[in-house]
Amino acid sequence: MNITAQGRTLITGVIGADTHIVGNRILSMALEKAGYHVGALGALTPAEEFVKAAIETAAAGIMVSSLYGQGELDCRGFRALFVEAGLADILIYVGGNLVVGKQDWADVERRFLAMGFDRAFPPGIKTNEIIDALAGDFSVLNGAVLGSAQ
Amino acid sequence: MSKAETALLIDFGSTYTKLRAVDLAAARVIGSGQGPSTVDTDINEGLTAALADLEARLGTLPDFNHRLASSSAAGGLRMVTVGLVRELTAEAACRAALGAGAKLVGTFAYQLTPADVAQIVALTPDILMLTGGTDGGNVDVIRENADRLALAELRCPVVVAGNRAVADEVATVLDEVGLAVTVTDNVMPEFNTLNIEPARAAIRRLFIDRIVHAKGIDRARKMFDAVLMPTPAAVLEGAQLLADGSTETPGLGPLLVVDVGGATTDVHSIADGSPTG
Repeated sequence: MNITAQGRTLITGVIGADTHIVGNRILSMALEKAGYHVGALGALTPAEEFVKAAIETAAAGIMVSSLYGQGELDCRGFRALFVEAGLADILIYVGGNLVVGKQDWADVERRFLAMGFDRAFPPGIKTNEIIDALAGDFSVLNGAVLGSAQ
Repeated sequence: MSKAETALLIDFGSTYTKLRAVDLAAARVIGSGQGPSTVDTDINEGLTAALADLEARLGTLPDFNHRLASSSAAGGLRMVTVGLVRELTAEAACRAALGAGAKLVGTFAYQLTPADVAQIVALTPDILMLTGGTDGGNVDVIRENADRLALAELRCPVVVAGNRAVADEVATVLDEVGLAVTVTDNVMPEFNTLNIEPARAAIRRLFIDRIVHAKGIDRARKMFDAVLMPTPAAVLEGAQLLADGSTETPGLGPLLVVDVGGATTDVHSIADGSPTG
């Protein structure tokens, strides 16, 4: 078990009017295997439901999937919803087929990071890469907490 | 008629006290009677009038083997629920309360404001249910709400059915100010997973142990064996039996029951929500 996973809840879901569930399901299973507690919202999930789930479960992170190409529209204002809910600093990742057609990934990634996502992942990413990224980000957070407590 | 064969079923309604005499061996209603409910003065008067009505119709009153009651008198079981996210634990709390046959007089979500607390006290609920946070989830709001309620002039029993990580701590805060607290399982232990049966059972227990007395219904206790549940809960149990059937009689299947009463109209549904056809 990943030590940074212990006691942490992650919310997963497919945002907007998107029904593509398989990738998100595979990710959810991989996260559980890595020791995270997963609140899986499934497909067709409005943005607000990620926020509500995060509040209720005191989630440590949000994993948003989008596969039908409309992700950029669905994700506009996403971080702001968490800010409004008092969860301004929650970790938010996004991945899948985030845009329509083949676009330069660096540019796509830049746009999603500018929208407030902590990380964006391209199609074909492996789940262990996401889990490693989470471990890294949570270690930094742990270190920041320890640092401020000294 | 021998004692072993009959039951007297009583409903202390908001307007009328209604009786049914049942021949258990024949599985038949053999008589009915009613009188105006008199809970505000002396409940015995209304029950006596109803029994006289029943006797007039039957000719003679059997020596009943069972005498069981439900009640929606004195405003019914008035409850306030408090949860976290309106669509999640706050909604789960509502379902637990309604499923127990309560009349929801107030529902609250998120952190209670001073105005919310004042409103809760003014509502004088019979029971307050405090929920919030999945197990291992949010701890702050249910704690804060317990603190605020402890400072208020709340007088009713409290059912704590929230995050198990802090349920006992929350219960202690309320217990220390003299409130009767029951801790039960979280109404939403995991995200989007309802677990309302333990809360329903706790509400029903409180109803039988405390509320029946508090409303003066047990002044008539010589005339019946027990008040088992609020009337809406009895209707729901009946609807469940009608839908599911028994080992001997098939049920009707998915069912919607509308009970148009003197004070409230209650709607109950029995279904598993599966698509048909």
